[in-house]
Amino acid sequence: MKRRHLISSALALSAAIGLAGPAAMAQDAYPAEPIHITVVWPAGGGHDLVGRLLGNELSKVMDTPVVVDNVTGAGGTTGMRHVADADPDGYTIGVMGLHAISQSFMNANAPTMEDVDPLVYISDDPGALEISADAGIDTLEDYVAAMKDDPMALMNGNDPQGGNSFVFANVIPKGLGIDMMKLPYPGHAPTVTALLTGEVQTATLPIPPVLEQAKAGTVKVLGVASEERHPQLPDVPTFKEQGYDIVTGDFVMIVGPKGMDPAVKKTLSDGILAAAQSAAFTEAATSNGMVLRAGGPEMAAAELTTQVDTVYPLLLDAGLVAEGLERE
Amino acid sequence: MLLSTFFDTLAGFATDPAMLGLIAIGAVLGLILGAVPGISSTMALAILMPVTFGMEPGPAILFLISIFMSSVYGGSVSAILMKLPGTPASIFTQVDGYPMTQQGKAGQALTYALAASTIGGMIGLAMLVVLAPVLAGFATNFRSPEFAAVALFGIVMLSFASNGSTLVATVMGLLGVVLGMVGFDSLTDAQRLTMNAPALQSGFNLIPVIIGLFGLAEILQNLSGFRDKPGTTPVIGRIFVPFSDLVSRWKVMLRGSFIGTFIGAIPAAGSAVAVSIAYAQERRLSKTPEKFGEGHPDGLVAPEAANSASVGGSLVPLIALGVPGDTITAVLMGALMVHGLTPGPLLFAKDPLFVSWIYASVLLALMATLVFGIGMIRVSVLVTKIPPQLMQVFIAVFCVIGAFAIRNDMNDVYVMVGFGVAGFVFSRIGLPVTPLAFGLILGPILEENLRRSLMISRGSWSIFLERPISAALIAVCVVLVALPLISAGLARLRRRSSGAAGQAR
Amino acid sequence: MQPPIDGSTRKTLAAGLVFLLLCLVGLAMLGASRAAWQGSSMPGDPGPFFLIRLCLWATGAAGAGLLILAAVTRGQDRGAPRVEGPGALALPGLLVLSLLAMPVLMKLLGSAPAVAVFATLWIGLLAGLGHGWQPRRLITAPLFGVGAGIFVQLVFVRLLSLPLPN
Repeated sequence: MKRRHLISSALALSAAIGLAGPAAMAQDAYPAEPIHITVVWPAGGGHDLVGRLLGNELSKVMDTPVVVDNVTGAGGTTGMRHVADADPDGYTIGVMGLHAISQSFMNANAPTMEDVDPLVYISDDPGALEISADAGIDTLEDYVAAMKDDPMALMNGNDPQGGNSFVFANVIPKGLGIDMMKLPYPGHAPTVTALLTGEVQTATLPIPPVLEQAKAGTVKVLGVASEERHPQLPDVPTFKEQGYDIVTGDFVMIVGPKGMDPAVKKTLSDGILAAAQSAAFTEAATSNGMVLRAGGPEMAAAELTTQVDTVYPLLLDAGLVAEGLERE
Repeated sequence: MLLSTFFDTLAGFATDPAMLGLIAIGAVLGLILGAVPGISSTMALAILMPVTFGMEPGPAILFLISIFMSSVYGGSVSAILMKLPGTPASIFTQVDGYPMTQQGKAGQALTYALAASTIGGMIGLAMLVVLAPVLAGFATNFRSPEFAAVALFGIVMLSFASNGSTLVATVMGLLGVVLGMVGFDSLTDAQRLTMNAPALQSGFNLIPVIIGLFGLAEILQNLSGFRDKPGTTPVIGRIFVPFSDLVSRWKVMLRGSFIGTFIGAIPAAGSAVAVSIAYAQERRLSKTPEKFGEGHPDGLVAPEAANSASVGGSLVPLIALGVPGDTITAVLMGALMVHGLTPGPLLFAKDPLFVSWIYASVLLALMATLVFGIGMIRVSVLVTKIPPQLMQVFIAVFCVIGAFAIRNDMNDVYVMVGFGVAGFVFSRIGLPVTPLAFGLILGPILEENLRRSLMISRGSWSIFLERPISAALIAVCVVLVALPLISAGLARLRRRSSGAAGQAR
Repeated sequence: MQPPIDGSTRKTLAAGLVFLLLCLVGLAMLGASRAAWQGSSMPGDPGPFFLIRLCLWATGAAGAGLLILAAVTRGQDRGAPRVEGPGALALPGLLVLSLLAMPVLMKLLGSAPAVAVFATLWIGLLAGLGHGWQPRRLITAPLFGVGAGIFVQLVFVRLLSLPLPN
């Protein structure tokens, strides 16, 4: 039985290396080349995981190799530019989230949301409020009371300005009616580390990076900022259940450059949707804390508009919208 | 209990031909990919990760760790043979490794690197197995002030890391710090020194910078003297190093390994910091520091041991706390998550089998790297037989592709060429470039943590002295800076008094 | 007293000028960045420009110091100054220019053909300069050049699937 592993992995290897790769394919039929999924963050992160898992399924659905390219730098802008500027031939697509909306208002070099074409909506990524087990606070009520008592008592770890947990760190305290001391960390993993070493006591990360810690009890989730409870943490109440109307979240969607041939776009988005709904992707993504809500191009476009309308006032409020990028 | 599980797993792996086959394939792929300039360990893992999607979790971990461990040594091969560091962790490998190649000692340099890498990896693993909970406790004491203090310590050490004037080396280090801050601020998202140019907004990634500073600058240097001396291939001397020479460097290997493991265990510090501190420390302790940079084996052995040992260290936060310590372990963690195995704080208690799996994989991967590495030395030494005119053109091509590949961004090619010119000019006017790379690594760590500490303390600088580890590190920095000054002063005093005494005598 | 860099006044002078130049350029760019930034920093944070300015000032001060040292120690050059023909910088300059053209070339021709062209021209040039312009030697240049192109195509484009332009 173990020998079978070796053979199958040897086969997989040779396929990856391209020895058994499809060399001669009809030029006119799409897809005839490998599809490249651009991930704007370094390998190993949440988006990277989505890209690689989805890419694996997509290559089965479309019967063509799928490659993940990590095009990183400038807070995700380099990668978004790479997607927006690519030939609209259906061979370059990208994984996108809230960051791209923020950057489109903060950096004149970032593509605007009109420069990309939403293809498939993958998942919601609701915001949440976590507290370290060492802080000795178990309920949202106690937390709000402690913060009203002394706003400096507990420090919050979050992204730099424009990142998703920074947006959450603006929305959540506003909804709770408290002030929050926000300490920036470059990314989710360093924020989790700071929560564990006790440098900060709370964090406003989405669920996936703290899922294992929450299950282990080293970190306690005080509330989830979505309409329904998080499927991986069914015991954690939402903010709404606890009497605070706070709903905020990141999202994951797949976008392509503007101007794709409608037939190609249809084939591509159908393929991605099928990959996103495949059993293998669903299982792996769910166990990593993603809240899947797959939908086609129309839904993706509608969700994108909604997100832009939600995020823009927040950025404007925080003074982050760059000169010349204001909306009328 | 964990130890016996470990040995059981090890025995299980070692007697299973399928597993051994996987390790061998992983090690060979890792060695080759790591040795291709521009392919870092991170990329090697990311590229081969999809191959494991179809495997069971156990073999998948084994395969990935095998690639990871062997690519760490593989990265040193291009650094030694072509002065092209393939990974940030092999920056210091080329400093003494490449001069050895020029002297016809490429095989010896590779042997030293492989031996140090294996020993370092073993020590790192042993410390991981025995001390993981202790190291994890040590690592959790590191908060922003400690990170800032470590970075400051590294910058102080850099003045010991290069030949020539300490002042000039320090200034080059500070310039590196400035370069590390180009792009978006990681705390406020402010743009710094970018002039709104996309190439600068992306910041300077270490790989294109060092490929330019070391690899391209070397070619430019050779070309400027091309008319007089078109270049000759060095005579290949003996390929392997006498065993006694290896053994005699056990102290260097040990020191490098300990530094590597401890620094590697600190989240976010990473192997690049570990190798730079190990190199600087070894040069400072050496009786012949002036020979460093001219092909001194100690200057090769120390960073290589630290590099490999830092792998064991970097697995500490992953296994004990469930957070990735650096970018490579982040990819490894991503791969584990694909297989439904997310490291978390309860891993030790909940799944000791999984932990011992990782340990056994690291050990076997080290052995496989050693075996295939020895085999590869003879082949890779042949690279130095390629006529230099050909080699230089090939390296120039590798410089372009390697600079592009790290972030798939063409702007990085321009960055690489720019730093190639800078490295060429700097070496002409006698400015050392290694501290520049040092500053580029440490600068962002220093700045981010310094400022975050000050945010926590509301602007009070005393926060760095209130915490024991950071206070101790800062005290060491002060002593290190003050010591040469004091000893120079004492020497002057002594000279004055002995001048008087000498006359009496 | 000796000049601090390699015991050479000229090198010390050059290094001092380079440091001063970098300081001035850096401060000018920093000024532009500060003017463009509209955000605010957290209480206690010395700001995103604090450490850069500190390092640039230190560089400038060191540059000034080196200039003074160069002035004090002038005429103490150890060893003869290196005599360089005007051609010494021609080849490096040409390589830099052709490398800067590579990204454009790769986009126009595709990566592998661009590499083949680049490698052929340079191998031919170096072989000609080094061993004389014999046709027999020059004939190998396209072989190696195309070989380099094929290597890039096979390893980087096919095997590693890098998104190189094609």
